[in-house]
Amino acid sequence: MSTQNSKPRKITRREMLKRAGGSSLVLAAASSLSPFLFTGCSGGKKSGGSGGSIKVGILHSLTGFMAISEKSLHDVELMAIEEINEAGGVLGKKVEPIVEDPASNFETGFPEKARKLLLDDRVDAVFGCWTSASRKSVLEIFEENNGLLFYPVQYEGNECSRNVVYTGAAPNQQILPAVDYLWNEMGKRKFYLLGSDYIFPRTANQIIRAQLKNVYKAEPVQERYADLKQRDFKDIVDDIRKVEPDVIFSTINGDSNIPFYNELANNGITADKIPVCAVSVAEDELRGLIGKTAIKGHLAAWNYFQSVDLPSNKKFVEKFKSKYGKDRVTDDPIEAAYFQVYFWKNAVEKAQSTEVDKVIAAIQDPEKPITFDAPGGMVKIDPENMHTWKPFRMGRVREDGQFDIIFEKKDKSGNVELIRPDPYPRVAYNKTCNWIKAPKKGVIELDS
Amino acid sequence: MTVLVEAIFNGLSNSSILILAAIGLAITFGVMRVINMAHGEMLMLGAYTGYVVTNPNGWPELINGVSRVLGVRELCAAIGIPYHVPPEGVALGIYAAIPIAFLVVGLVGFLLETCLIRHLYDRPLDTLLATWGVGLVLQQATRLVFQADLTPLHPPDELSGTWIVPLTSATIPVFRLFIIGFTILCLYLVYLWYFHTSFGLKIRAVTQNRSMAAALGISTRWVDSLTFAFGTGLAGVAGCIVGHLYNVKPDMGADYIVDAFMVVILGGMGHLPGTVLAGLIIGTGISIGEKLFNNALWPNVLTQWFPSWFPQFFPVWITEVNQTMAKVAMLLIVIGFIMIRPSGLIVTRERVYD
Repeated sequence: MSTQNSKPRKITRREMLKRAGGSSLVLAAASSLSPFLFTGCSGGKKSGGSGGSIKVGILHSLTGFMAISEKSLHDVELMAIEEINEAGGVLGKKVEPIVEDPASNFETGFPEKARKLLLDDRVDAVFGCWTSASRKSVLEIFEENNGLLFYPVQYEGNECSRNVVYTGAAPNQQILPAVDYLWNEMGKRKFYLLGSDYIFPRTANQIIRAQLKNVYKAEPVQERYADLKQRDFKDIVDDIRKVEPDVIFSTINGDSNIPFYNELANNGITADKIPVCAVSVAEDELRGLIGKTAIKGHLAAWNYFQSVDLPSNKKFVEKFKSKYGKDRVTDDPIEAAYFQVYFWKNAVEKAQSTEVDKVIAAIQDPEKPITFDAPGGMVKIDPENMHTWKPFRMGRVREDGQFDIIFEKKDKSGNVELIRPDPYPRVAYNKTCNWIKAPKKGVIELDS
Repeated sequence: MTVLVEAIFNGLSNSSILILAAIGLAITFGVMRVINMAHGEMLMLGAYTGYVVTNPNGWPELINGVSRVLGVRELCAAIGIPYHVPPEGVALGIYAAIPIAFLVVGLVGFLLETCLIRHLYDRPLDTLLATWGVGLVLQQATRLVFQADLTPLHPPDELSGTWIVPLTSATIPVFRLFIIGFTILCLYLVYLWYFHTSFGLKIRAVTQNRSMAAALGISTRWVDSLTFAFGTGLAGVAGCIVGHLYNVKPDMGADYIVDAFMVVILGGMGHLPGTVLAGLIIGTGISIGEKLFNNALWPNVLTQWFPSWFPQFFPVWITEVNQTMAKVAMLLIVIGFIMIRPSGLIVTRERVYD
């Protein structure tokens, strides 16, 4: 299509003058108004007085293949922000969420949107990410620009950043207690390690291997990985039948879980013969798959389940359902995503400022750690490594896609024990993360 | 023994799934030479048709989804007509779902051919782009109507058991046996249709010499449309079947389209027996590869068959991701074969006049 030179546009001198005059008028008006237009946001943030708003970023995939998991975190974070605003905001100001959709793209989507939130929108905190790949892709950006990321999903550990508050489980709060429980309480000896082929399962299995070797003087009978998008598990199930393990420790992630559990059932392996203990399967993944699904009776290790019997949890679940629909469910990452917004609120109120350095200083104050009465019980941020103290629970899948809690880790006096987070479990690493003792780089090498 | 039985059976099972997914493409791409990038989405539509037919919630979910996307509820409220949520439908079984999927997806293929592909027959690259675009539209439309969640399809009770092979401890899921049998039935019906009906004769006439066929009074347009519809209908059937074994989700088509093209190209264009042979080779090759790369077998193979310095080049993780390794090995073999024989396993010998 080339209509360019079919009818040349003629600009008369008169028109030219008119246009120039008009645009300069607009410019003049804008520049004279600008002090009134822009002071509202930029000045208000620094002064810390009432009025104006505090901007926070929400960075979860709302499209693409991760949307199925991350959308719920986005929903519950908006719900928490709404609650905070209804109760008067933070430091007398409304919290204004800025939602960005990185579209499940770890290589470009997450870094691009993280930069936008930190540099263009100048948000005071970001709640976001799900996969370790997405967290790793934005980690440097947060460290370079001194941002503050709250990350709500259990992960493989081996990380220590001053600019991230980890509110999901560290390996010693989910994977290691699960191994302990399976060994001690259920008497399982032959572990079959099965995972998707990426960083979390590989690191998790390395830690489990170390735990079995150092604590129980045992070895897993098999270690096997499936492609992240694998759909056919017949050969792996054949292998399971041949090896005859006592328990399958599964770090299979995402959609692959459904054909995996189906294949087990189709080949006659039921939960009472060889149970699967999963650390990446929660209520939200089971939503819509209730009924005849083959997953019934298998195990999952988490810090929180929707079926936790606490008044605060009942309120939380009811509120979430009434806001987003009866068929919606809550689970561990959703709970963490919810209470991390309150963690940030409490830290800001303690620091009396939204400035990142002051908020981090408030979080790292060993005298008075940040706490919150979350739906799954009391949680607090560890001042040394900025991970979260959490309880440990083991659940068994029910017919309706919910979990029966069959075990809760208790302390000596019989209360639910809060486990101290450790991104570098001693069974596998000779280092520790401590921002109080090592304020420069956080990691301290230990003698073995 | 057990391993051998498993390898053979898994090979047959893999092959039957590959052939089922590729047989529609063998007709639309192999015979008609239309590069239909939306073939995977045709499978997806077949699987969702299966869901709507076999699940009592399926039908209301479809209606609600469509009216949500189109804003029917708001429209009703604006005009003042009450909007009724459709009641739960009757759940028909998988046996009803298969022919319905064939008809529904065949109709979609018919519309696709008459509205779009027909106008692009002499522009194969544009066909590729256009059908890819159609595939994206269908994916997103499905995502809007049914949401991003996985949609469960369950085989009926009589097909969901396990069969333990006598004298071995190998297990064979009944549904996989059903797929093998169904694929053989499908192939037989396609064979009858292609070689023993007058319509099949017309297709062969049109693909061999279009202008001569037209001159003899065959409506080539009609033949094109119906052949394409038949091919996509078969894709719909395949989707309905594999949806019972694997996941049903809007982007599931991408999992099948590469395999399907590979099978058709390896088999040789326009040759249905070639497609079957290629499916058998690839499916069995992958299953044998899986057993071979298993850490029970792999070290023995290495130490027995290769010089002693050889195994150190193969780290242990090869056996930990054995399916991936088997697929890589199979892909390399296929690429090597295509380099030597670009026209595939079976080549049609025909006289060339011009």
